[in-house]
Amino acid sequence: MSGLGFILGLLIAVSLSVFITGLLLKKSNDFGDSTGSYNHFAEGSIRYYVKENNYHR
Amino acid sequence: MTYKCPNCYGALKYNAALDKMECEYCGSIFTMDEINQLYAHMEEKTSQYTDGQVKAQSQVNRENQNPDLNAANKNQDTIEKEKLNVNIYRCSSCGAELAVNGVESSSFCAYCGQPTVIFSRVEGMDKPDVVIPFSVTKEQAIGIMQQRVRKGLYIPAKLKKIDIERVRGIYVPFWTYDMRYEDDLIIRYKVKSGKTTVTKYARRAGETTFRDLTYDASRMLNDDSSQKLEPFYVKNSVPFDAKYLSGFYADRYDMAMNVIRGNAIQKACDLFVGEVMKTVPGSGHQVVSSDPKVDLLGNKYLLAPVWFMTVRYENIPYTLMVNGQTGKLVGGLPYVMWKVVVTMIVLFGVFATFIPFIVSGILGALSDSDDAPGKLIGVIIVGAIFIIIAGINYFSKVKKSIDLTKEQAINRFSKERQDV
Repeated sequence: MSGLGFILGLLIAVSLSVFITGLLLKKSNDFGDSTGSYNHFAEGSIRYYVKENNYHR
Repeated sequence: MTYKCPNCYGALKYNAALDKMECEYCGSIFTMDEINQLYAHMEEKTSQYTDGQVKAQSQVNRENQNPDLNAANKNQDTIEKEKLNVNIYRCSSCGAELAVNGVESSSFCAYCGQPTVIFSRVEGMDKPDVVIPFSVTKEQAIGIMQQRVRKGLYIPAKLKKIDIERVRGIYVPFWTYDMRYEDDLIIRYKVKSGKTTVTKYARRAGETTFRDLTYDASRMLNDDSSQKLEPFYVKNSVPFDAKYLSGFYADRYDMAMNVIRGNAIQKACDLFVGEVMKTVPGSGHQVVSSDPKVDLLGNKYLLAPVWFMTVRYENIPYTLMVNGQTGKLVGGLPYVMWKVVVTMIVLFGVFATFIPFIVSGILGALSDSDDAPGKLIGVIIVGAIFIIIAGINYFSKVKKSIDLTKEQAINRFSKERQDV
C-alpha cells in the first residue's frame, strides 16, 4: 500500500507542477481575457416567467 | 527600372539577408514572386488606362476651414486610378499621391505626414453613427505594453527591451445591436442524492433586452482578436465627427450589418444562456432544447479606437493591441522554453518531497477499512487527471494567443497603410 501511495503522491506532484506552470505561463505571456466585463443587459436584466428546477419532460 | 512599393510608392530595395524586396519607407517586405505578380497586374491596368477605360481625375485643394483636419473634401478624394489593389488620392497638403487600401477612411500622406480623411468614405450610407475617441495616448499605450511585458516571467530578454517596430492608432468599425431576446430553455443538470448522481431537468423561460452588443465589421481583423479587445463602453461614445479621425488611421466597414447580424444574435444567446445557467443548481449543465425569439430594436455603426503595436522577435512580427478607450492589452508573446521546463521540474521537486509521504501515510491509516482506500485512490487519479488537463489547457490558451498575435492577417491589418 505504501508503494502505491508513493506513486499516487508523485502523480499529484506532476499534476500540480503542470497546472501551476501553465497558470504562471498564462499570466506571464497571455494578455487580455476572451470576454469583457461590460454588462450588455439593459435595466431589469432577465425577466423570468418560468423558473422551474424539477421540470418533467 | 525602379520597383515601387505598392503600399507607399517608396523605392523597393533588395534585402540580401531576407532575400526579399524591402521598402525603406514603410518597411513592407515582398517576395520576388509577389512583386512580379503585382507588376504584371499593374501593366494590365496601365493598358486599360491607355484604352480609355479608366479616366484619371485629380483635384488638389486645401481644407482651410479646419486647418487641424487638413482633410480632403469629397471632390478631392475622387478615386484617381486603381493599381496594385490600392486606391490613389491626392494629398490635400502637398499634392503627392496618397495610397489607401479599399476600406481606409483616414490615413497619412507618406511625404508630408499630413493626416487626411477620405470624406467620401464617411458620408451618406457610410457615415458612422458614433465614435469612441481615443482616450489612451500613443505614449500611454506603449507604457502599458512595456510595463506588462517587463513583468513577464517567461518573455525572452530581447523582447523585454521592446524595440517597437510600428505603432498605429486605428479606428476599427463595429456594429452595435439593441435587441429584445426571449427564450424557453430546458436544461439538463446533475445533483448528488446520497451515493448516487441523479439527472434532472430545469426549465427557464424569460426575456431580456440587450443594449449595444458590439460585433466587429472588418473582414481583415479576425473576430477572436476583436472580441478579446472588448469591452468598448458604447455609452461613452459621441456622435460621429470626422475630426476625431484626423491623426489616426480609420477603416470603414466591409461587412454589412445584415451579414453579421446572425453572429450578434448568437452572442446574445450565449450571454442569455450564461446568465440563466447561474440560476440552475447542480453541475454538468447542458441545454437540451431552446426556442429563441429575437426582435432587433436598433443598431449603430461605431468606430472604436485600437492601438496596434508590432514588435519583431526572431524575424517574426508580433502585433499586440491596446483598447484605445480602456487601455486593455491584448495578445500573446513567445516564451523561453527552458525557463518553463525548469519551473516545472522545480515545482515537481518541491511537491515530490512531501506529497508522496502524506498520501502513503493516509492510505496506510485507511488500510484497515474495507472500501475507503479504493475510493481515495479513485479520487486521486481522477482529480490528478483533471488538474493535468486544466494545466495543459493553460498552455494551449497561451499558444493560441501567440498564434493570433503573430498571424499574418493582423500584421497586415496594421502594416498595409501609409507610413508617416
